[in-house]
Amino acid sequence: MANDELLDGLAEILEQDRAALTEAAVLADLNWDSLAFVSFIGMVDSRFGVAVPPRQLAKCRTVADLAALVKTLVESAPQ
Amino acid sequence: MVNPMDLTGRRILVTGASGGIGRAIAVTLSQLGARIVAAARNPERLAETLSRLEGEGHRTEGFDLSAVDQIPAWLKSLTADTGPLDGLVHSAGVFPIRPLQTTSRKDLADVLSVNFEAAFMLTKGFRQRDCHSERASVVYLSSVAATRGEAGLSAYAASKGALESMTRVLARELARDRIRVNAVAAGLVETAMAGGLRSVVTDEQYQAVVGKYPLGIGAPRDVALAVAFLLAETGRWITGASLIVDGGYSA
Repeated sequence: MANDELLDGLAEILEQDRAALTEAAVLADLNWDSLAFVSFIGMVDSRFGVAVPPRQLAKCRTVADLAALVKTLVESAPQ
Repeated sequence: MVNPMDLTGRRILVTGASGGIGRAIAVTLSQLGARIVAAARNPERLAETLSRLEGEGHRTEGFDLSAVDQIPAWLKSLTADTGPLDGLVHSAGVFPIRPLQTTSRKDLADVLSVNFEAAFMLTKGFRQRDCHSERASVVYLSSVAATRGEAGLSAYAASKGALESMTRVLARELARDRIRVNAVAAGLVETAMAGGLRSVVTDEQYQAVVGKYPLGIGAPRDVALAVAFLLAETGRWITGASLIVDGGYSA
């Protein structure tokens, strides 16, 4: 399940309604450009304190991919 | 043989001396004989900078420039101890990449505060009697972002644009006080701040950025030498200038 705070941040970056950010929603259809890319990394760092590796982020195709990536990073982050 | 960039005996305050360009500036100026007052917030990084300075007569100053209103008083008390400063280099700053829609008013204010307002107050303080010497020189670290738009840099570019406009005014206004005021408009330099860029974009994106620089990405020393040029005798007749040091990016 995607995280609420993550989806709020993503919605702000992409200027989309939360309703549009379903798990299957395709990033390429949602204003996901290089600026969104960089902003996402900044947002995750700011809200969750983890650094998203760009190469892994570049492999994400859907909202679910983003959520899964951030979940993995948060869970494996040192306390 | 004479070194026209010799800075022997000049006391120069460098803010943001704890890393990246600021450290390179402090080191380079010390190699040219200057006595450095290295200012920053982080004590460990500041101590590391101090250990790399050549020559003697250097000191560190822990000061948080976000206490903007206290800057002139800080300079007055600092120079009561060190004697008047010959130079001021403002290298402290932040480089956030953030689109307009996620830049809050507070984000904007934070960027403007350290990148621009601190420079304003430092100069106001530097201008006070007994704070500067008779051959005083100020250099602000600006950026090519002030004159070449790149997405994601609205607050940052605004802060640097403000610096450059202020440079021109103060060059005229402070000439009567025999204070020269200049800026170095730097391009992308390989430091923690911009090395931070490498960590937030893919290799392809990074190469696309590097590709805009005919001479590639710069090194901190490239910028430091330009700062030294403006501070030394080589800059004697230069004021109100924004010296572009950017590997050809703006060409």
